[in-house]
Amino acid sequence: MSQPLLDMRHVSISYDGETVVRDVSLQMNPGEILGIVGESGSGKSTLLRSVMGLLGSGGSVTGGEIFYKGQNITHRKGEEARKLRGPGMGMIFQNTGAALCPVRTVGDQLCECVREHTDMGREEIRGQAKELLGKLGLSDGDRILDSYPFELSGGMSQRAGILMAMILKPDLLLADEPTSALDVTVQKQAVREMMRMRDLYGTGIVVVTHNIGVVEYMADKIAVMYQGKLVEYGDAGTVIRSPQDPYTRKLTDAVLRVRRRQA
Amino acid sequence: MQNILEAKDLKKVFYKNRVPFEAVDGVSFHIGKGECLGLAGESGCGKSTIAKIITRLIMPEEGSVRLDGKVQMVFQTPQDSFDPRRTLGDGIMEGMRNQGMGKKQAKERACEMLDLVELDRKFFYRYPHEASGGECQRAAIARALAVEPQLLICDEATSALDVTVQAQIAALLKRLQKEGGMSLLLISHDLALVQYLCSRVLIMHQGRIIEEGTPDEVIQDPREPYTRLLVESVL
Repeated sequence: MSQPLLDMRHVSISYDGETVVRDVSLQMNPGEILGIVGESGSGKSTLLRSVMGLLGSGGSVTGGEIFYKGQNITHRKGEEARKLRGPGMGMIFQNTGAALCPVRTVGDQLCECVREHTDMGREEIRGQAKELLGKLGLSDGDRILDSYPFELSGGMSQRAGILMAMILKPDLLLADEPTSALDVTVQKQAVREMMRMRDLYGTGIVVVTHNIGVVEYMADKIAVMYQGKLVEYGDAGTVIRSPQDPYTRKLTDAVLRVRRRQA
Repeated sequence: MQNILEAKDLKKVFYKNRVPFEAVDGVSFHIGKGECLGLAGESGCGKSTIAKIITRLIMPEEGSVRLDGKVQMVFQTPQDSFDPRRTLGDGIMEGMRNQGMGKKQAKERACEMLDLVELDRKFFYRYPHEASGGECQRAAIARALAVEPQLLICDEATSALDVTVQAQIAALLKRLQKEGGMSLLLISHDLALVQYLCSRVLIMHQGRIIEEGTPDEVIQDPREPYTRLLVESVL
């Protein structure tokens, strides 16, 4: 078997001495989509942040190890962590509009982010960005790049976020509730765009969400978190159709589904 | 069936940088006694503006609302809808006290209301930050029902809650509506929730009602292209 893209072994994470993630082991292969579901406070976002090295000052990995392409990244710091991001790992946040600087245009911030990791010129970056936006079905690339974050709708800024994460064609994309603030029609577009990224560039994606529908649609594998523990982990279809853990059963039972014709 | 509410030709215009935006553009509908009506659509379509017009939190430019009885509202973020410096019990009693009810009687009724929404009576003494989102939302429903409204408006009342808690609140609303014979206006972007709770649904798009019918009709056989897009987008 090839080397896993991401390998978490018995990871525990604490915030200010309080353990919020306990003994979580997960593995994902290149190009795989892993969905992590659970309630607020279950530790799913914390787990994602530990991979990206964004736990913040109060948080730290207190047990276990995290490997990215065989390299131990559990306790990397500063410059070392920064080099891993960009072409290695990209991240999409729930509210991209708020994650961007409000007084600079999207294109400007995109260039800054790309030039941090490559020596591409501005025009080259803009060209690539527009090409990528075209692949996402957005023809007015110039308008988006020349906009300030507040000039974009929620859906548009979220797609700008996907663009910024994807332009460096990372091997691993970490998405924290990427579609939770979006309307359903826009949510479906964003989900499709992320899946298209996987198809185009073989990007492995970890998507954290409370929306079972999104995970069911996207994910190859599902991890269910409950009170900081991984209670179920396996093939997406199997977890949804025949959940083993009582909490997973409760979760899948609680999902209201639209009854469609012959559904 | 008698109508508890009749809204005619409602129109509300907001101005953004002096550019008029018709948030509600000629909307008419009614809610029957004991009926649970769904109002569905995406952000910015005007659903919440309609709730605010009915509760007179804002005034429409044109149109009329005829309401037969009292109306109460349950909001999206339960914690924010309570005064952080007062207990949940105080919040539940406030409406009754404003209507002239004595303190002792109001407290008794508040406790009965907590029983009704399946919340332990100890929550009477809790502050909003000492309760979870689901517990707070139950208290908000208790507060709304305490003054015996003929119409309850729930504006995205389950959207901010975890999936398992959403299911509990949805089941609670279904039970209360069935037992109490109360009329309910459920504003939601969640078609599955509308289908679970409502007997009739209005689909809103860009300030207008574009489609109406039973949830099964609308979801299984949408007539408008926008409704079809909305239904197909649900994952």
